Amino acid sequence: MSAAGTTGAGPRMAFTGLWPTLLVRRQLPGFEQPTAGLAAHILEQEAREADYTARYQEQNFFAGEHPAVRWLEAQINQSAKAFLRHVGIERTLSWTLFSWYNTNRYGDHHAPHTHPRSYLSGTYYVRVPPAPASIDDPRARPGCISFYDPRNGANMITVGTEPDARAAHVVRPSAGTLLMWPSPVQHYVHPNLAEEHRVTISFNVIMDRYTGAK
Amino acid sequence: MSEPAQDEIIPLWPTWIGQLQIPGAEEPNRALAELAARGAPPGAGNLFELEHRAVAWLREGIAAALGQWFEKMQVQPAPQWRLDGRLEALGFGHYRELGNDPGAYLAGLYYVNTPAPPELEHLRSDCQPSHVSILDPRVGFNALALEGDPNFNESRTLVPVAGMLVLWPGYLRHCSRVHLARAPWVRVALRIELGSNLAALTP
Repeated sequence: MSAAGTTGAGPRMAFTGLWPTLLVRRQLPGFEQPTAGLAAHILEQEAREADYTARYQEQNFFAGEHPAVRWLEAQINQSAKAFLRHVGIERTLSWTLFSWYNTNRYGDHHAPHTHPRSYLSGTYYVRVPPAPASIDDPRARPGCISFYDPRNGANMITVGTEPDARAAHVVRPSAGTLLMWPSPVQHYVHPNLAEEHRVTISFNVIMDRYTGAK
Repeated sequence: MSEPAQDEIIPLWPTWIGQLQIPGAEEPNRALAELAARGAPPGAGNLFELEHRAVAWLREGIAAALGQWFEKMQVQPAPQWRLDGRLEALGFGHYRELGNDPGAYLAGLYYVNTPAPPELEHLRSDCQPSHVSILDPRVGFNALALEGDPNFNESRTLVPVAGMLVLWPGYLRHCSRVHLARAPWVRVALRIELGSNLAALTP
C-alpha cells in the first residue's frame, strides 16, 4: 500500500472535466407582479376543473394570451437562447414550448422522472411555502428538487466528500426561481409538507427538428 | 422589488480525466520496451512487483500524479492505494474492446511509445488507429443533443504520446482502437485500487 506522492514540485497534471451536466438557475428580475398574475390565472383554471393539475399532458399553458403567461414564455425563450449560446450553438434554431402548471397540496410530490422527446426541461416557481419546522426527519427536504447524477454508478467507489460522491444535487427554490436542465436528467420533486399550496409551471423545450415542424 | 437576477449555469458532475507528461521518460521507456520485447511479463502479472529501475521510475511518476488527483478532488489526506500495471505490446491488428475496470478507483494508461502510424493506405478518414476512446458515462444523453453542443459527441479520443500518463475514474468505459503497424504499441494498463483504510470510502 502506498500514500500519494508529493504534489509540490514537478510538472502538473492537466485535468479535463468532460461532459458536465448543466443546470440553469435564474432568479427572474421583476418577478413579483407577473407571478401574482400567474398565480391568479392558475387558481382560475383549478377552480374550473378539480385535479386538472394531474392531467398535465392535456394542458398547454402557454396557449393563452394572459400577459403574465406571455412574460414567462419570453423569459424561458431568453433563457433557452442563453443556454444554447453557453454551449457554443450560435446558429438559429426553432423550438416549441410545451408547458403545464402544477399545484401541489400537502403531501403531493413527483417521483423521479425524466422528460422524453425534449431538449431542455424546466420549472418556474410561482409559490413556494416555507419548509415547516415540525418535520423531525433530518433527511427530509420538503419543497426541494433533487437532480441525479446521470452517470449511474459513478459514486460507487469514492472517497470522503469528493464531488463524485454526491449523486444528488438538491436545490431549494423560491418564488421567482427558474430552473432549466437537459431533459434526460432524472429529478425528484420532494413532497410539499406545508399547508399552503406549492405552485409551479413546468415546461419542455422541444426542438422543431425532432417533430419535423421545421 | 426583487433582488437583481443571480443567473448561473452550474456544471454538475463533470467526468475528470488527468494527463501528465512524465519528465525524463526516454531512458525508462527504452527499458520498458525491452522488457515488453522479452515478453516479461506482457499480459500477466503485476509489473509493479518487478524490481527494476524503470518500473520504480514509473511508479514514482504515477504516485506524484495520484497526489495531484486527490488534491484536485479535495480528498485530503489522500487514502492508501495499490497500483496494478500490465505491460502490454499490441501487435498488428490488436485492440482492446470497450470495457471498464470494476473495483478500481482509477484506471489509465502509460504510453511507453508513440504508436507508429498505420501501414494501410485505404483506411477511412474517420478511422483513428492506435488511439484510445473514452465514452460519456451518461448513456443515451446524446440521443436528442444538438450538433455543436458538448453532449453531442459521446466519445472523446485521446492521442497517445510516449511518456504520457492518462488517468480516469475506474467506472469509465474506454477502448483501444486497432493497432495497424508492425512495430508494437507498448503501454502499461493501470488500475489504482484503494487500500485497506475503508473508512476513507464514502459511506
